[in-house]
Amino acid sequence: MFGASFGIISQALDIYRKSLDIRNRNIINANNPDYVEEEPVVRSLAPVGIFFEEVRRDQNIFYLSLRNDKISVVNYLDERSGVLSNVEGIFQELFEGTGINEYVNRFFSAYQDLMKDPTNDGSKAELVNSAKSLVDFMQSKSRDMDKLDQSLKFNTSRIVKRINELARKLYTVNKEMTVIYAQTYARGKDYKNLLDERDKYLRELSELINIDVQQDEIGRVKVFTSKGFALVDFVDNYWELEFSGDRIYWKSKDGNSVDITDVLESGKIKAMIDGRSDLQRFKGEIDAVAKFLISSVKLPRENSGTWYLIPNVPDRTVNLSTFGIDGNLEFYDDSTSPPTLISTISNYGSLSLDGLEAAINSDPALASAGITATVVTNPDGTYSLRIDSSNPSHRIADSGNNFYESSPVFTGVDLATMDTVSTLSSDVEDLDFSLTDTFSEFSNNWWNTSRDLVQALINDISTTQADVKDKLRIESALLESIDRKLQEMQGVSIDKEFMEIMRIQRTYDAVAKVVTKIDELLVTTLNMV
Amino acid sequence: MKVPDSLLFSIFIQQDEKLRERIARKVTEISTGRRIQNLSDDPVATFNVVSLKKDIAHLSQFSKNRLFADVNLTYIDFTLGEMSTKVKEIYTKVVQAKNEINTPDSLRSIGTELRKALDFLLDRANDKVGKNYIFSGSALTTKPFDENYNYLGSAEVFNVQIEEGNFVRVFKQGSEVFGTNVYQMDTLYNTPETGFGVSGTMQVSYDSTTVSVDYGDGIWYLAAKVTDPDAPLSSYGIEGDLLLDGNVEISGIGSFSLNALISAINSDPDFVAANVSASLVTNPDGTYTMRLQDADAPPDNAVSDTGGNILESNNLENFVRIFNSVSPPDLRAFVHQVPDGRYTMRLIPEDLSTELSISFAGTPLGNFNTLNVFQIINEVTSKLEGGLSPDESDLAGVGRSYDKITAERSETGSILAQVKAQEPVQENRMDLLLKQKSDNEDADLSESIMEYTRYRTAYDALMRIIADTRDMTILRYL
Repeated sequence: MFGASFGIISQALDIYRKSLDIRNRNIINANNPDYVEEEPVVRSLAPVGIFFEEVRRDQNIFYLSLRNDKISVVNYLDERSGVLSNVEGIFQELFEGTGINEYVNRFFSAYQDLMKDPTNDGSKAELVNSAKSLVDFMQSKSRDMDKLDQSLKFNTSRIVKRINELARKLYTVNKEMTVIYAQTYARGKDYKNLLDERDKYLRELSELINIDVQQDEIGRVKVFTSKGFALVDFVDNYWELEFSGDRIYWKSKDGNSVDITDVLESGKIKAMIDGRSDLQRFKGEIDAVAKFLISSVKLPRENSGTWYLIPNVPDRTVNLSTFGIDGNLEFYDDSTSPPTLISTISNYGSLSLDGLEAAINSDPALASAGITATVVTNPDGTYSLRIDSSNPSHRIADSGNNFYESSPVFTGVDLATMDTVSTLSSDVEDLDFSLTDTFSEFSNNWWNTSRDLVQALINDISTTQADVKDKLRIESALLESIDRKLQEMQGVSIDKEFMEIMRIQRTYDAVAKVVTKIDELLVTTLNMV
Repeated sequence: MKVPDSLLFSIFIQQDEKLRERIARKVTEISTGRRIQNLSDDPVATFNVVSLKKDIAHLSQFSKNRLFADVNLTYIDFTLGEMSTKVKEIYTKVVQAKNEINTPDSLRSIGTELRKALDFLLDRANDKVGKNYIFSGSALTTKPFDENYNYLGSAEVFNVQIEEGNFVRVFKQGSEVFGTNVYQMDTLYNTPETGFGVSGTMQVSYDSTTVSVDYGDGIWYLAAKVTDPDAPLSSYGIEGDLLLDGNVEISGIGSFSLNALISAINSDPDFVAANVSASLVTNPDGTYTMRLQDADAPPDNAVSDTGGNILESNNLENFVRIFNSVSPPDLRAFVHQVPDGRYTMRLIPEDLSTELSISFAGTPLGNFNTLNVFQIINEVTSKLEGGLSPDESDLAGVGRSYDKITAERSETGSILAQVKAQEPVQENRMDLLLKQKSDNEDADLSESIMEYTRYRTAYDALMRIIADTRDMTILRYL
């Protein structure tokens, strides 16, 4: 008479115990951000009892994708900001005596000090030392950036490796899901722990690279990055990335590699790419300072036998008058009294730099006097003209005040090869005192341009970082908001879980009491026999 | 609304992080006194700070340059002051030697005194500050004057930049500082009356004035200025008889006007027969004089007057008198005796800054060179040492030397004043730049402390909220 009742009660107790297990699982994972609250779905099969239909998972896949997208963006910004923060650490411009700006200022102060008091041995030594310090400092900053670049390169390869691991793990989870889903299909499809694992991997993958996710009906995912380059395709396949020669390649199954460096949008990997690009740009900007200094800064000399066109010109083929450069060049031999005029080149403004070079070199009087001209291609892309004479009695008078007997302070073609000229210490002993005021004025322009170039670098670093930090602040706030929404949807409230447990417990107690009552009824019935 | 536990915690953690970060930031601000710690904290402020640092360094350099100019110019001013005092003493001695009756020994004694003074002047002129000679222009390491008082320094000044586009002359060329416009001819004559032996015209130009005087045998000038050629010459103190070859031809020329005298000469049969003619000369200052010439070659007549006003322009003494009668009063010629006893000519403009351009037509009398202060004083010193009295040209030369040094000192003083005037300007600008820099990078401590307090209060409140929230749990009722 109670056969069916015992069966129903036994099934109910089993279902409630299972429900309790699920509630326990919720409580245990209450502080796991990737855990989605599970809800045991028990359906009534009146009059034959209850049925454990499934473990419902309160997840909104749209919000999850949105959250993962934001994670990708935030991680990109955070990581890039970290790189830029390191760069800020390299250029301590705001502290006294530690910035490139200070070294540039010290050099030009020393230069002007020497132009003010050219016989002062202290000024001479200071110019030489400050020039060397400036070169050393800029090269040291460049080396620091190279080290940072190497570390970013190493990080990129680690990130690529981790992306590949996660793609493989997701592929494995997809496969496991298929199996467990089939195994638990009749017993409430309780394979949702795999979905949590999947979500954890997707979250981590999002931190590393921007991804799009497609989910099938049982929760297996297809994952691909920008432009549809797939990383995981449900249970069929997964693909790897490769970092080689500073580029990121997507490796297809047919053995081909596609360069996806420029199409990646976010994630730490993009931060590494952009961070390295930032570094290259900054290096270019500090290189521009070095190239300008090499190209421009010169000392007025008395016996160098070398005359330079001091204003550098951007085009060697255009008439010099275009750049406001004109005058007459008179070449003298001072060994006679009065000095002998060797030759004159009038209105050189009507000639291009190449033309003036040819005019000097084709002048027979100058050629026989051993006076030659050479167009100098400066490291900063400008041009100058150098006139050489090995005869110390030769003198050039330029009515246009553009050519001066002078010699450069720095040598090299870029920052890496930059150095002070080897003869700098002796060059400062041979200054033309009558030109120090003129060169002091020149140095104002050199100083201003150097300051502008340094400022462009500092500006680039500060505004790039400020922009990234601003975006990071905004995107982090958005992520927090989405995360909260997601937490509200899928997070676990312990209070709620305990109330549910209490409810289940009471139901369980009630059902258990039915067994006791039935047993008492049975005993009563048996006693009647 | 469901409030999951992880959400509650993540909110608390996020707020906690934010507040801690803000508190840490304020602590750093307060402890360092700086508002911006990183370049990206405030890119605009960073830009301004980098720019201001350059401006400050540049201004600081200009201040150093100004100080350099100040120190050197002050020393130059002091040196020129000492030199002008010394030259004044020399002038007094030369006046004494010229005007008083001195024996050769007493003249030599004054000469010895002057030699010491000259040595002192030369030492001062060759003085230097540090390694820089102060009167060598841009040839800073070249001693400006040798023992013969020749200038060896640069012909260019040495400037120092005290502001962008603003240069001040610090070291001027000694040739300019001690150079005078005393022009001395290099041809020497045994006596002032020694004939030139050559003929021609000397032209002296300055400003817009040109003085032209002929010289040579058979050329005579009335060595006096006449403002009205129709007024009797007696009104100018010119009297006497005009003689041709020692014979009186025209008596009482004082009763003639200049024009009448010229007419009288040109109509006089003896003058006509002698081929001697007279002409009116209009001087550069608008006065008049008379020029006579014997057209014969070679001239074979002699013209003179009993009043000593008509002179033949063929020796130094006559030529100087004639020149001074033709020339405006702002240019004077002198017969100058050189230390070996011979004579030459000096030209000294009245104005210190007047430069003369001297040229000759015909056979030149010689070359004119300017003398520097030391050469002028050396000449008078050498003369005194040789027992010779100084002449008027020596006195004028020494006087000109004093004027020149005084003028140079005055110019140095004005440059020094300009340099000193820059000091408050630069200091004010420096204060302004430093304030701007401070405004950009320094923290407002009172504001920072208030914000720190606010964040601390918020943090304490957050902690209390967390505790209270966790206290509101069903777990307490289980």
